[in-house]
Amino acid sequence: MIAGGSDVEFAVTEGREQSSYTEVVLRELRKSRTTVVGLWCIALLVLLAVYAPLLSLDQPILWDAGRGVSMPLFPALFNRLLFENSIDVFFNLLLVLSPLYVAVGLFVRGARARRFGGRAKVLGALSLVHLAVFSAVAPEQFGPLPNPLHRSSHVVAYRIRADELAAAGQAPRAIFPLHRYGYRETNPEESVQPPSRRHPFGTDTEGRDVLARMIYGTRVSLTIGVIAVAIYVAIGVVLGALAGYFGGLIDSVISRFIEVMICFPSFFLILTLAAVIEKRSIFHVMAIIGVTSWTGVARLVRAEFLKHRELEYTQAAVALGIPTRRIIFRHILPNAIAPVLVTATFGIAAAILVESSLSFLGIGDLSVASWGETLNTGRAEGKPWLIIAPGLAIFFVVTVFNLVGEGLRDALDPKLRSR
Amino acid sequence: MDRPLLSVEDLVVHFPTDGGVVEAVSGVSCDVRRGETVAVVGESGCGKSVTALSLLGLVPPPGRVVHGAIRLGDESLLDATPERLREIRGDEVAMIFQEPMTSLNPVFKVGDQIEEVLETHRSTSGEAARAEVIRLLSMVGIADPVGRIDEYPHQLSGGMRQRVMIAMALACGPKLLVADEPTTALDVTVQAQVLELLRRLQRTLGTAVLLITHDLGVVAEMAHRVVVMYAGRVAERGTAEAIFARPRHPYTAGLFRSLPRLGSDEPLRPIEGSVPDAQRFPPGCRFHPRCPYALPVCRERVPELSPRTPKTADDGDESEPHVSACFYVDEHPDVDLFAFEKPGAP
Repeated sequence: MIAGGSDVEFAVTEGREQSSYTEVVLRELRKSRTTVVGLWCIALLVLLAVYAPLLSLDQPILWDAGRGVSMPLFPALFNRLLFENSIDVFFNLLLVLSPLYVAVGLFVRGARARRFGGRAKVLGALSLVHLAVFSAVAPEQFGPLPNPLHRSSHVVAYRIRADELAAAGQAPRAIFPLHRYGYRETNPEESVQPPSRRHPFGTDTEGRDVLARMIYGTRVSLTIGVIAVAIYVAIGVVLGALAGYFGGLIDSVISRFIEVMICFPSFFLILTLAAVIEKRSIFHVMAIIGVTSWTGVARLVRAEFLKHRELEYTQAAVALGIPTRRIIFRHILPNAIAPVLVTATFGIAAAILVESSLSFLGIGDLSVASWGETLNTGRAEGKPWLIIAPGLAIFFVVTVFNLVGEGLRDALDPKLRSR
Repeated sequence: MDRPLLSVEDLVVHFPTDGGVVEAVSGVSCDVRRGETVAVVGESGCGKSVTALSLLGLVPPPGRVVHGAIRLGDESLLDATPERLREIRGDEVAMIFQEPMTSLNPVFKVGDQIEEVLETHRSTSGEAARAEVIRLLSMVGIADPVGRIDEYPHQLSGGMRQRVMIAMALACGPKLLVADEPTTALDVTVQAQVLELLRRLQRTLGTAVLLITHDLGVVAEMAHRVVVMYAGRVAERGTAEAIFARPRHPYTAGLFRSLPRLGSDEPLRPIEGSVPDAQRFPPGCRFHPRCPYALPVCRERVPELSPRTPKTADDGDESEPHVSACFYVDEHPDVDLFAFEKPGAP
């Protein structure tokens, strides 16, 4: 009787409520205010990174000086004089294609949830129209499909032309981005200017606009964080999984290797490696962070695998003849990945900090807009506007990722879960 | 008589530990024929689970089979390559475990877990696999299989999870199902349902079942034949009828005596003492320190399994002699082991 009763109760509480583990975690995440704020801030940073050219560039979105309307900003996105780095090319592609994936996303969601179907289809159709209009309006400048590797020979200085025309009393019809400076434009005459109306955050030693460099710096920081962490999570997960699942000799070899790696003071290792490489690019920095920081993840994953390989569901999977590789990566890994997510989130913040430190020490990639580099200039020049802006930017991004990491950790911890 | 589906001969499993080698299974033999249920009974730590695991090459390291033969049909499982063993698992021989609460992977929908087995062994996927999963779920008696297929294990009760496990195990129509204490963790009512399900499926699908249990009630309900194990050895083996009617080993009798009987005021008489430490098994018959019938010879020599004469016509059949390993029964073939007082002190 009692046994039967408890079973019924169990059925009532757990019943038919359709919530997967992910949904439970998301619900927990939403309960913490700081985490929600953090997540919104990350979303904002991503938008800032993708849409940076619409916020800050010397090329107008629309330009009409009496000889027809053109949209110079869009071809400029793939002009190697303005955007040399692959990070920028990648984000600019994201920017150009954003209507497309918004459309696809909405269509997919519309197909899944019938009741949102109508509205999503309208929005999706609008996005597609947007994309079509965009490619139709600017064919002249956009030309054939832009080749990101193509190096354009010249850039029209639209901002200067606009200023000249305005001075001559014939203002062109033009829509510029909010801030009319790109991050690579140098101007020796305006070097180390304090904040002014034209340069709200001032300029650096080469006369580059600090605000523009801050905005484009989000691209560098996010990419550094995500790619470096992706590299070391991949290495750490594979090595940790092998060590934890197979145990024995494999475990001993991998564990000893991890211990050897841990013995190196990692920042100095990174510093040495970065200093040794000639012609450093930002990707070298990512790779260096990636190959030196995987030990924590590997140990975490190993511990999780040691636990999960003994659990009944793993034994059941083995007894049902599921191939070993599938058991490791399809069965155990999804169960073991939660703590890795937490470390990865903290890791993004740490990687951003490492990149800033390297740039601050002058061994970063000079072709990208790095916050650390501006900070270094500020230190050398002793000018506060060159220190405060990048300092706050680094502080903000690192804090935001740490807040989200902490929220994620709490959400994944069943002991802290309030039912 | 045709060959048994599964035959285990003289199986010895060792676990090397820091304190010396532990012999978890010492010379166990048993057969399972097509479509029948064989129960392996014994206390915790008697080696019954290790025996079951060794069939599929699943003995947890550092344990290993050091002697014996396991044959599935004509194939020797101990000589099979790891890849061949993997093919056999889940396809020809499937296994279900004690803990339905944790035997399903918490991050996958139950339907996907069953589908994966089909995909692994039958390369069925997509719509065909989904239809098959729904058929399997309704076969194991899950109401609303279409609705349940997309649920996660935590949304199901223990009994339902065990049903899903059974559906997974039977997905590829195995010839043999090894059930390691399938009902131990379930409520009594659910237990009865699951046993009924297993019995029904066995009748309709003709799957042979090797049932590992310590519950004589389960044995009585399910088994055609019984193997009683004690401390890594077979104590007694025979048809369920023969063993229930007339146990021929003091240990078997002791197990029966420690069960409550309906309508009896007799106090329960548990077997005195406890299971010996596997690192220090007593010499001779391993049961002798706890045996009320122990003879001096029991301390020195290991008794052989010897055939016992059936008392009545339906007590034991030709192909399956009732055997037990006991010197006392060798000397007193007609002793009534149910009587606690031994007749005539040794």
